[in-house]
Amino acid sequence: MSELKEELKAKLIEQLNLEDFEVSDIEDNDPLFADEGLALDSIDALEIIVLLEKEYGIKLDDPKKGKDIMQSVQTLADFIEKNRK
Amino acid sequence: MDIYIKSSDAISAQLSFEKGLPEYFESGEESFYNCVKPEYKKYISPKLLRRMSPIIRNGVACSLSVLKQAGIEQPDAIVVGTALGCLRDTTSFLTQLIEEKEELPNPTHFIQSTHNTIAGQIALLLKCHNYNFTFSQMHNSFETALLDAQMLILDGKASNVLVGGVDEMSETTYDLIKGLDCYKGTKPGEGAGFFVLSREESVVKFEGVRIINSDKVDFEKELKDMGLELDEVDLVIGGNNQEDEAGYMDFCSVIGNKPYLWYKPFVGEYGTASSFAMWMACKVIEEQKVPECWMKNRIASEKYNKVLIYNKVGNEHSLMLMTKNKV
Amino acid sequence: MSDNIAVTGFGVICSIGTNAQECFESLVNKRTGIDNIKYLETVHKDAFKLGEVKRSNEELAEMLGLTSIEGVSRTTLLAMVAAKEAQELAIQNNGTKSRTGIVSSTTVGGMDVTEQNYLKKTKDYSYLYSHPCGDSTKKVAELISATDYYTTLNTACSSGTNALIHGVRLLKYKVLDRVIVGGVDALTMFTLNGFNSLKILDQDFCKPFDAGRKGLNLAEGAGYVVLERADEVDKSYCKVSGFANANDAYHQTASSPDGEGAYLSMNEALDMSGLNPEQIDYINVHGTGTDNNDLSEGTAINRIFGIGKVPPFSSTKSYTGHTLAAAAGIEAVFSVMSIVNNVIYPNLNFKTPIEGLNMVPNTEVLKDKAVKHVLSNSFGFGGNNSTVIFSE
Repeated sequence: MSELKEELKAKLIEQLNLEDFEVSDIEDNDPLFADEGLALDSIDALEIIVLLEKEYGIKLDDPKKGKDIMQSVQTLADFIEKNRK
Repeated sequence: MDIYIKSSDAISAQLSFEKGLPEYFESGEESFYNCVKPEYKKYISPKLLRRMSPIIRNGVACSLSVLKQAGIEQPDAIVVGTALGCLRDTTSFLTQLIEEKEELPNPTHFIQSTHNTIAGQIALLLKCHNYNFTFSQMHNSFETALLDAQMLILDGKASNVLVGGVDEMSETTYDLIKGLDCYKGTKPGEGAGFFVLSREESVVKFEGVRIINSDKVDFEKELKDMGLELDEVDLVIGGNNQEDEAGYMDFCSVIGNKPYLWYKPFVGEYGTASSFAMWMACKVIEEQKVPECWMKNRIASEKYNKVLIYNKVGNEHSLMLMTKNKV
Repeated sequence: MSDNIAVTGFGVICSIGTNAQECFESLVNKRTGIDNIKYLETVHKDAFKLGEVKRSNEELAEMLGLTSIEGVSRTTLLAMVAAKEAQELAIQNNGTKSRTGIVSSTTVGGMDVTEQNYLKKTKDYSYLYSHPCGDSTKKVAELISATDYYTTLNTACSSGTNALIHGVRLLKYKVLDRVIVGGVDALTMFTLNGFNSLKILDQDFCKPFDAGRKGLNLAEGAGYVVLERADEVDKSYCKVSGFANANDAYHQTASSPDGEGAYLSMNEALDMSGLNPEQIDYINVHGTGTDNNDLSEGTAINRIFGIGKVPPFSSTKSYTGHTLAAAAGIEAVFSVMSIVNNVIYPNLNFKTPIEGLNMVPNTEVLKDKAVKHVLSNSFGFGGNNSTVIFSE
C-alpha cells in the first residue's frame, strides 16, 4: 500500500507537471484540490481519470463520481486497491 | 480620433523584453530561433506556469508587462493574433493520439491547443470580462488583430486595448517545416509583441494599418490613404529575410534611399513577426536612436518621427505607420 | 449602429442538408442529421454518433466544380460550398460590390489533412500548407472573389459570431462594401478524441436542456451570412440589430455557475439593439447538451428574461450536432430563416426539464406567430461568450 502511494505521488508530479513538488513534499492525507494542499483543479481531475484508466485499468466515466475518490493520495490509493484488475 | 501606443514590449530571440532595442545580438548558431526566456515567475504564479507551453507563457508575460507599463489593470479589450496557435500542445496531442491509436490521450494538451488559450488565460488572470478576440490569418494575423483593436477604439467601445501577436517554434515543428518552400532562405523563429493601444495621448501615435492582398501594391496611394506622403517617411522597417530579396524589390525601389532596418535575420521568420517590427518602431520613436546592428543600409537620420513598417509574404502585404506625437 | 447593417445572403452546409433550403426542410420536419459514423476515419466508429455532412470530399468537390482537391482540406471544401451559396444569393439580390471580403472562423483549420498524413507518416510535408486556420479562408476568398480583405477568427465555439462582429466594423469603417461572415469546421480525429478526453460526449443523441443530458454530439459544417450597409442595398432579409462578446473569466473550459459571461454578452447585445427582453421572439441557444453549458446558459437566460418569462427557445444542435466554429455561422443562417419564414424550430430529444431552472425548450414547429427578433448565443473555450440579435 505504501509503495502504491509513493508511486502515485511520483505519477501525479509527472503527469500534472507539479514542478515545485517532490514526492516527499506530499503527505498521504494532503487535500489534492484545496489551496492548502496541492491546489489542483478540474483539468487535473480529468488527467487523474486518464491516469487511473491507463495505469490501473480502472474506468471512471463520470467525472462527478471522482470527487470522493480524489480527496487525497490516501483515498486514491484505497480506491485503486479495491478496484484494480 | 487619434490613437496612441501607450506601452509596448517584445519577447524575442534577442534581449528585448523589458528593455529598449539591443545594441548587440545574442549569437544565433541554431538553425531556428527560440526566445530568450524571461523570468516568468515575476508575472505568472508557478501553479499556472506548470501547464503553460512557451507560447502561452510568452503571450501572457508580455501582455502583463505592457499593462503594467501603461498602469492598466483591466484593458477594455484583449485582441491577439497568432498564425499557428499553440503548436506544441497541438503536436503533443496529435502525436499521442496517433501513436497510441486514439486510446486515452491526455486532455490538458487538447485544452491548451486552442488558438485562443493565450487571450483566454490573460482574461482569466486579470478576471477581465471584456471583449476577447483571437485572429489567425497566417502572415496577417497580427495586422488584422491590430485593425480590430483600432476599430474598437474608433467605435467608442474601448479606450485601452491590449493587442499583440504571438507564435512559437519547436524542434518538432522545425523538422517538419524546414523543407517547405515558404521557409527557403529564412531562419524560422518565434516571439511575442504586445501593445496597449489607447485614446490617451502618449509619445507614439498609431496612424494605421493597411492589408493588401494583391500582386502589385501602389505604395504612394496606400500611404496617402493613411495621410502621409512617401517623402515624409524618416525610417523604414522591412520584413526582408535576405539581402536583395526578390519580393521586396518593388518596395525598395519606391522607397529609395531612406534609413532601412530589418529584423527577421535576428529574430526569425514567423507569422506574427511584424509585431516585433512594431515594437522596434515604438522604441526608435521613443528613444530617437537606432543601434547600428539593426541597420540594413548605413543611412542614418537626424530624427525618427515617422516610421513605416512593410511586410510581405507571397501576395499578402501589410503596411503599418507610427509617428511621434506633437513634433 | 443598431439597424444599419443588412443581411443580404446566406448559405449553409451541415449534417441536415447541403444548402439552406435542404436544412430548412429538415428543421421543420424534425429530421436530425446525427447518425452513426460513416465518413470519419477513427477507431471509435462504433462508439459515437456524429453530425457528419453526408458527402465525401470528392462529392463536395463535384458540387463546386473543382477538378482537383490536392492540398484542399475538408474544412476548405465545406466553407467553399456555404460561402459560395451565400455570396451568389447576395449578388442575385444586390449585384456585385466593389470591395468584397470574408471573415471566416475555424478551430481546426486543415487538421483533417494534417492528421491523415501524420498517420501515414507522409514524408513530403507540403501537406502542411493547408494546416493553418487562415488557409481555408484564403482559398475561399479566392474562389468567390472576396480577396479585398480576409481574415479568420479562432475563439473556439463562439468564433462565428465574432467573425460577424469584426465584419460589421469593417463595413462601418468602410474597409469593405460587402462582407461574408461565419464559420466552418470539419470533423477530425483530433477533435473527437479531444472532446472525448474531456468526457463531454454523449454516445447517444444529445439532449440539450434535458435533465438527463450527457454531453454533446460532435459535428461538422459551415454557415455564412452576407452583410452590407443597409442604405446601400435593394433587397435584404433582416438586419443585425445587436451583438456583443464578453468573457466569463472563470475557467479555461468550463462555464461559471451563474453564467456571468453569457449574461454580459446577452445584456450588451440587447442594449445595443435597443430592444427589451420581452421583444425577443425566439432564442437560438448555444445548448450543447453538456451538463455544464446548459445549466450555466439557462441560469444566465433566466437572469436576463426572468424566471418563467423566457421566450420560446431551442437548441438546433439537437439536429446538427455541435459544429464548433461553424456553429454560430450555421445558427446565424437558421436565425435569419426563422425571421424570413416566421418559424420557430423545435428542440429535439427533450423530455424532462432541468431541476431548478424552470425552463422548457420549444419542442414543436411553431408557425403561427410573427418572428421579428431572434437572439442567438454561441459560447466557447477560454470563457468566450458571444450573442447576436437579428431583427426583421
